[in-house]
Amino acid sequence: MEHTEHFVIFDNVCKYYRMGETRIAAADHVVFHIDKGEFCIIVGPSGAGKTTVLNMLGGMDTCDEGHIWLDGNEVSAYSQKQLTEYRRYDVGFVFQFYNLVQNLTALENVELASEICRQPLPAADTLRQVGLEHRMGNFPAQLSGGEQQRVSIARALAKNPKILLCDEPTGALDYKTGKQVLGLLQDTCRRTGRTVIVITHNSALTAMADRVIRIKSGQAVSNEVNPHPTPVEEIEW
Amino acid sequence: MKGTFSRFAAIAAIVALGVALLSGLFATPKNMRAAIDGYADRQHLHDLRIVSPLGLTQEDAAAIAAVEGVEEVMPAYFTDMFMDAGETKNIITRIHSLPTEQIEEREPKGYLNRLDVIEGRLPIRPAECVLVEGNVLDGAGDLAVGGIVRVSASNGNVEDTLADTEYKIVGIVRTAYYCSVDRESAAIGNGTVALKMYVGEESFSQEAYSEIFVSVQGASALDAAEQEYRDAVDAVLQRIESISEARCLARYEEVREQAREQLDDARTELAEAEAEAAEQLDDAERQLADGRAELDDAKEKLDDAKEQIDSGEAELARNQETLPGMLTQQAQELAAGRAALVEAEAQIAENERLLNDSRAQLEAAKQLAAQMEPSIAEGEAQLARLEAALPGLRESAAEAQEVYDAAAARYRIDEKQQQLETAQADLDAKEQQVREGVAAAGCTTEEEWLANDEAAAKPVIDARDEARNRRDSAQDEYDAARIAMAPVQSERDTANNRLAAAEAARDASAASLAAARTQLADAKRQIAEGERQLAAAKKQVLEAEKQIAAGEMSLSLAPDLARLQMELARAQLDSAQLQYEDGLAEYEDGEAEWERGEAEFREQKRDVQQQLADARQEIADAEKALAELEVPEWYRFDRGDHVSISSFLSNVDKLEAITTVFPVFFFLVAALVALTTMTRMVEEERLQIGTLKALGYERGQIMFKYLLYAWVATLAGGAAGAAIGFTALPVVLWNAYGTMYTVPDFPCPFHPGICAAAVGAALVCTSLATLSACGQTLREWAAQLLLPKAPKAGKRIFLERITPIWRRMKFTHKVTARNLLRYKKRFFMTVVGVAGCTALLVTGFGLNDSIGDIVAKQYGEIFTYDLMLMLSKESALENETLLSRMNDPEMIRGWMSVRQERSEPEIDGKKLGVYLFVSEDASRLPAFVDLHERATGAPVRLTEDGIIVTEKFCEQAGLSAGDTVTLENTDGKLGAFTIAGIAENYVENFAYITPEQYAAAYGKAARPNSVVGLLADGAESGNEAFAAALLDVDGVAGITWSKDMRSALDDTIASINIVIYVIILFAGSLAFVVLYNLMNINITERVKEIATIKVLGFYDREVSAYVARESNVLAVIGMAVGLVLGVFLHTFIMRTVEVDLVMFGREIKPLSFVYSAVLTIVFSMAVDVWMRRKLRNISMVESMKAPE
Repeated sequence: MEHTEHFVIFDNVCKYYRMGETRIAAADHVVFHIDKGEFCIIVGPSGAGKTTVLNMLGGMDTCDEGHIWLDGNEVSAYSQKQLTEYRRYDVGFVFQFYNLVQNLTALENVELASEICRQPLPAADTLRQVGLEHRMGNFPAQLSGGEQQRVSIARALAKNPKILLCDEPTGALDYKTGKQVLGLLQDTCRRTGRTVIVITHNSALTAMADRVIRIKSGQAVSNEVNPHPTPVEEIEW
Repeated sequence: MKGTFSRFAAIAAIVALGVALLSGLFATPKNMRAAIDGYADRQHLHDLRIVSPLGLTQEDAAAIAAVEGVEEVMPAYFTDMFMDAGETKNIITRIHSLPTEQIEEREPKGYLNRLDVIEGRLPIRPAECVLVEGNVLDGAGDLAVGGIVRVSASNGNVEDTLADTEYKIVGIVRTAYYCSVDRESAAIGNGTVALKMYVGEESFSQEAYSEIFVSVQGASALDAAEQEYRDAVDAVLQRIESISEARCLARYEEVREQAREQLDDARTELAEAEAEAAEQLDDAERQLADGRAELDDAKEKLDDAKEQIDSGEAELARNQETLPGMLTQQAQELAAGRAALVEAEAQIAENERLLNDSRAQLEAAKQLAAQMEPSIAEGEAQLARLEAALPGLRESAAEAQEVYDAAAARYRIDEKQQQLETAQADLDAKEQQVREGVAAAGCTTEEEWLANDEAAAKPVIDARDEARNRRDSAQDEYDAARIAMAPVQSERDTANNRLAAAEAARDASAASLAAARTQLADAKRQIAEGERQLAAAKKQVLEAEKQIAAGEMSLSLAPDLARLQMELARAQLDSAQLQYEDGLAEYEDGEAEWERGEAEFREQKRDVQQQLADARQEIADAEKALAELEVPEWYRFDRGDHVSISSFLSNVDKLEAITTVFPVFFFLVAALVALTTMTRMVEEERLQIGTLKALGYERGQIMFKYLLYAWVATLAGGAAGAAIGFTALPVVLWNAYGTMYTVPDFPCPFHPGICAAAVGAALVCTSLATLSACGQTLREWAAQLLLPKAPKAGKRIFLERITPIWRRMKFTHKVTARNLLRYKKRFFMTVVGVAGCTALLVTGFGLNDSIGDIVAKQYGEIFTYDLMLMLSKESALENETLLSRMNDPEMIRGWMSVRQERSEPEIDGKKLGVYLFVSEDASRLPAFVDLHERATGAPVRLTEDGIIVTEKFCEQAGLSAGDTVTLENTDGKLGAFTIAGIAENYVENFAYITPEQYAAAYGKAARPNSVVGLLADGAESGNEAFAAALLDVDGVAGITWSKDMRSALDDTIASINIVIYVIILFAGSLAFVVLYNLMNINITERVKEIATIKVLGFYDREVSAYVARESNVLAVIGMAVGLVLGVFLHTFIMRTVEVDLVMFGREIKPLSFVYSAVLTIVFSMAVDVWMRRKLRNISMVESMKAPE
């Protein structure tokens, strides 16, 4: 597979975990690709290996076999230090449990990320983008779940990354808030042309994606392009 | 409870540290006391030692043995000597005696202070010795087994002390008697014993024993450090004291008697020596005079020789001058000789001719002789015939005569002849008278005369004519007779004629025969003579010829000979000159030698006189000593006075002082940390507690689970701690003292009491912590517990309101600042934990400062004198040697006599010890003792306003400046003094008093008993020659060098330092564990946050910094608090541990704070490094999964 062809390429990527005597493959020769600017949803049941795939792509974990390319660079060949740099400059993460620093205000949480970047977006602006201009001085404990997740997204965006990785961003949110957050992500993708990858177990959401990758038992079973994504507001689940 | 291993380990480690230090430090002093007591008991170390200035006797020993409670008695000798071993000279050695008979016994009796043989064996024969292992002895070289030590010559006369002067080293021993490196003071040399040696008691020739060792019944069963032991020994001591007076008196009498005898002997000896010396000196003088005379003789001879040589020279010169003349003369002589020779040759020829003539004559004579011989025979025959005819003739002659005689008688012929002759004589006379008368009358004829003077002439001519007539008649008568007789006469005459003719013929024949014979004999003689003459002549000729030849040769050689002779004379002269010169040199040598001899004689004379003077002085001294001899007193020493044992025990006391208080604090800190750790653990386990609660477990059951955890951790730590504390730690500390003491066995028993207390306390702490934490948690509902504890909300801090600062702070610093204040509990715990450790470190270093400093301060800053002489007699101060030595500017910069007296006043029921220090001149005191206030350093001057007392004394007695204190002097008098000032002091207590104050208070002037001195720049402390000279002075009892005192104390301090290092090490370990624990908690609590920032792309070092910054700040705050806390802790401990005699320093040096701070930071950094690994290993993936 020609690696410059696509923005993200997974080429026979494997990840094993040792459980005593037996070896379990969390990722078993995963093959897929994603193009630049796409809003991609990786969907699969719990324990299928979605998060493993995302972690490897995000440089939080390494693969045991195969190759991962992002924007023409082979992530799977990075050293620890390079991986750190990769996370620092190229990747934005949004977690299920927000992972905000409790002791920092919303603004400071964003600044925590933007401070270490080369071309950060102004922290206050990103917060304004996610509609939290009036909550900037609040501590996470003072914010609702959705607000916290929006701070989390703002933190990821402020880094001005090449790719935004979101692991079950709505997992801990109620339906409405979840929708809002997804809308924000889709909007961001559309507006900034940034590649966004969202992991979810909710197949209903696939409708809103430009590309849907299905993962089952550690393998990418399908990689479909959705030519007509539905806006999130129109999706019900 | 998985994943809590590090926490478990932390709790266990903290408990282990606490228990180890507590049990180790508590046990060590006990172990050490047990060690020394066991060692002393095993070696039968004496309990009491009795010494008397006059020595002790067998009777004394017997008397002591009879005292109730005395178990064994060992009288013994000891002496201090200089010894030589190989190249090492003058080692100050203390020599002890061994009861030779007892040491071989299986169960010796009266053998105390037994020796452990490390190498070799004990001395069993005379001139054998064993050495005590120790500082000088390194087991090599000349001081090893098999080596020889010799009593040095510098000891002078040792015969009265030792029987042997050379000892073979047969063993190396170890003894509790000398188990310390402390310097025993010696009465010789520089005053310190270097080597200790044991020999058989036979090797001593001392008259009396030096000491008596006593052991007390039942004392060995008691611990020598305990009061019971002291009481038991004291009781016996009292009883011994009660018999001492009588014994001392007896000994006094004995010694006095001996001294008197000796003195008498010495006097006699001196007299003899004087006589002998005088004699010897006279001899020597005489010898010198003889020598002088001999020299003078020699000189004279030399002069003679010189003269001879000179005359010889002159003669030679003369000879040389006359040589030509002499040669000429000899030539002439030669010529003359030659002429004479010619003449002689002629003579020889003549002689030969004559010889030939004589030879002819000889022949003729021989012929004649031959002819004459027959005629001689004929003549003989004729003669015989003639002889035969003679008798007949003689007969006829005789007949004729007879006829004639008869006729004569008939004619009276003879008568008539006689008348005729008479008449003729008368006529002749008358005729004479006539001729005379004629002559007288001047007449020519008788007729004239008759004519002229008839008267006168007539008688005379008549007389004559008458005489003529008478004669003519006689003539006629006679003629008639004769004619009558004529025939007879003719006949007789004819007979007679015939006889005469025959006789004549015979005589002629006989004569001619005799003549012939004579002629023949002559001829024969002539022949013999001629022949001899001929031979002689021949010989003469030959001789002459030879002479001629010789003469010729001598003549020809003469000139050369003369020259040769002259040369010979020259050579002889030269050799004579040489001989003369040799002789002169010899003479000069002799002269020089004589002068040397004379000088030597003078010197010897001086020496002898000096020796005699010395001897006289000695006798005078001995007389004085005898006069001064006092009834002695027994000096009694117990183990407390014994250098090695008391040094050991006092070191144990010092150690105990430190080890009692410190571990308690340490333990408290450890318990505190264990407590917080336990609390946090329970808090973290809330979810599990909730689950358990939800599952229906009882509160007690849940609590028990955690209690069990705490107990297991505590017990595990406690067991480990006790194991270290009762084994390793005492050994480490013991080894610290190992350089000072040679006590072989060190028991390390388990002390259950200490162990139970330590572990129990730890258990209580952790249990309480667990119970309280569990109690709090368990009060919550299960549902609440199942929910994660709501994260503590972020909060704005005060600092944010100070906008200018806040805005300038880096973002991460803001986080840190906010975090620090967010977790107040953690903040508090960390600060307390770190502060505790830092405080312990400060205290540890502070102990070092306080204890270490006192020596330097006491002997450097306060006692500025360099040496102190102890005087036993005040008169020593007037001794010339002492004065010359002490006034030597090369050695001593200044000195002053002082009086030091011990006083033990009882103040407020407390018995305190203080030395009265009376200086000769109060104004000069500051040069020797620098009195100043401790806090300000301001000098305190001793004036007549009052006395200066040292700080500790005032503190103990509760006195301050202006108060009055009553002090007793050694005479038992009480004197009241006003305290004018308080001075810094660390060792002992002193009251500085002016002589005037002393005299006023006690009514008696202070008599000096010591001297303090300052060394000159560049003078060496411990100078042996200097010390030896001073110690020789009568009345100087000892010399101590401040430097030695300092180094002796330094040794102690060095050992205490080990203890302190142990403390520091433990405090450091505790600090490390605490920091690690806190860091660990910090990370565990914030693992999600850390994972988040890792995900955000923080580099490892940024992550570490993000986390460590907080703990570092906490550590720094804790450290700061600890530094302050340490000062208080230190002060508290110092005051608690101080012993009466010593005031420890109250200060901590700035450097100690630095050390403590640096150590805390270092530990903190070490923990950071350790944690960095842990941070790196935090899995981002795992951490993201869990909800908050």
